[in-house]
Amino acid sequence: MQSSAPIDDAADVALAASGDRRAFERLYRAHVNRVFSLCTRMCGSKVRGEELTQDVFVRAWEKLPQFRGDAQFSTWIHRVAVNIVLTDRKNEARSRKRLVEDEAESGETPLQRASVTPGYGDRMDITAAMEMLPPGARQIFVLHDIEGYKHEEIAEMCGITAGGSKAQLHRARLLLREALK
Amino acid sequence: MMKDDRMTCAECDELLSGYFEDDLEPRARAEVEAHAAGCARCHGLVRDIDGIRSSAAALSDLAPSRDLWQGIEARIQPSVVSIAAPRGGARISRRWLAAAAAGLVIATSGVTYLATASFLGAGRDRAGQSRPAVQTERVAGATIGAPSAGQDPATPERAGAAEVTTGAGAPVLGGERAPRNSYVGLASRVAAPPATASELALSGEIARLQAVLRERRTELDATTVKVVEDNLALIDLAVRQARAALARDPASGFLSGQLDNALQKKVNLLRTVAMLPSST
Repeated sequence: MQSSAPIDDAADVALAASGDRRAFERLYRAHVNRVFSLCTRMCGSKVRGEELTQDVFVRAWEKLPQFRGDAQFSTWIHRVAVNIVLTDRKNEARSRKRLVEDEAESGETPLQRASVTPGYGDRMDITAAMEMLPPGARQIFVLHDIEGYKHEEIAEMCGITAGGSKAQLHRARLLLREALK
Repeated sequence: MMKDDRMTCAECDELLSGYFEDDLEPRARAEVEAHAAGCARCHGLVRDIDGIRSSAAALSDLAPSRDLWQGIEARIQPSVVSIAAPRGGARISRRWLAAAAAGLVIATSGVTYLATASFLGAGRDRAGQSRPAVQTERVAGATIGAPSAGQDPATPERAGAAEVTTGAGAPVLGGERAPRNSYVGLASRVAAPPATASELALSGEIARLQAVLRERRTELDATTVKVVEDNLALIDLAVRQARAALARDPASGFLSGQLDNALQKKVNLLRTVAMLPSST
């Protein structure tokens, strides 16, 4: 994934791993915006993004003793965030199976439905358009085009093939283009 | 759509994904570029997708609308780590939670009852007449963020029934409305024993955990919430019984230990529930 601004987290990571909540709060302050951005863009909702961000840091606190320092803390916590969001999506998909089925039956995504509304695309920016992408396509677009993950990494995280990831990405870009025209 | 000697627009479309992912052989890539250079439709497509990629990569970070740290901090109390330890992916089942809570309540209540009955029996002997034992007190305040059904949040509590929890209405002590979570008010009463150090230490944590639970109430399974509330009510009953016994025998280290133990059990239960996964 794309490199982040160099942040020397090592000392705080070590302290937090030993139970120092002040150190963990410093890590939170340093990384909350990136984690929140990832969560919000992947799930398509700021409110849910905030909830997921809290879940991410709670999970990070639990898992921190297992963090070996092989990667940067920013990379590690982003991976934690991706897993949290993907798990949340699976849970949500189960609870909203009917909605998913409805969408599949109609063969139309929210973005496709919205894009036929007169004047819709005129005022839409990329952030708004992303929120209306189908969840799967949106998540892969965010992971690849914004967060910089490679298709092989995305495939591993999402449990799909690299080819599937590329296909979803291309679909997302085409849908965004339609919405932004 | 135009017809190109080397490639049609449909053929170009099929190769576009590979083109953007650098998956094409040099020859195929050159053909796409040559086609796009002479086709307004495909040229526009390539240009627009390039623009989308650039815009996405340039997006700046967002910021939450509020400080999320407080909610996180409440969920990462030190011992939460050990309770939430199912590192192998094991989850705390509802049945386990109910059984564990019921077990600790039975144990705590039983020991407290025995101690209380013994103490009151001795008091009756001394007085030469029977007097009411510790009265069964209405369980209140054991809800997560909302009063129990049929319970008036402002219903006064009986004197001596000081409440640890903050979820329901503020208890009334000696006819005066006491502040929520008020151990100070309890300790200041002549008949009540002073709050123990553990009580004072745990009251804040209980309040924080209950605040977390109030936030999470809608996320949790309704049956789980019901089980938790029922068990919290039982723990609170045990707490009150221990406190009532302690009021009559303030010097009893055993009763003090029982009270602290019951409060600690309550904290443990609240922490466990705070870490339960959402029902979604």
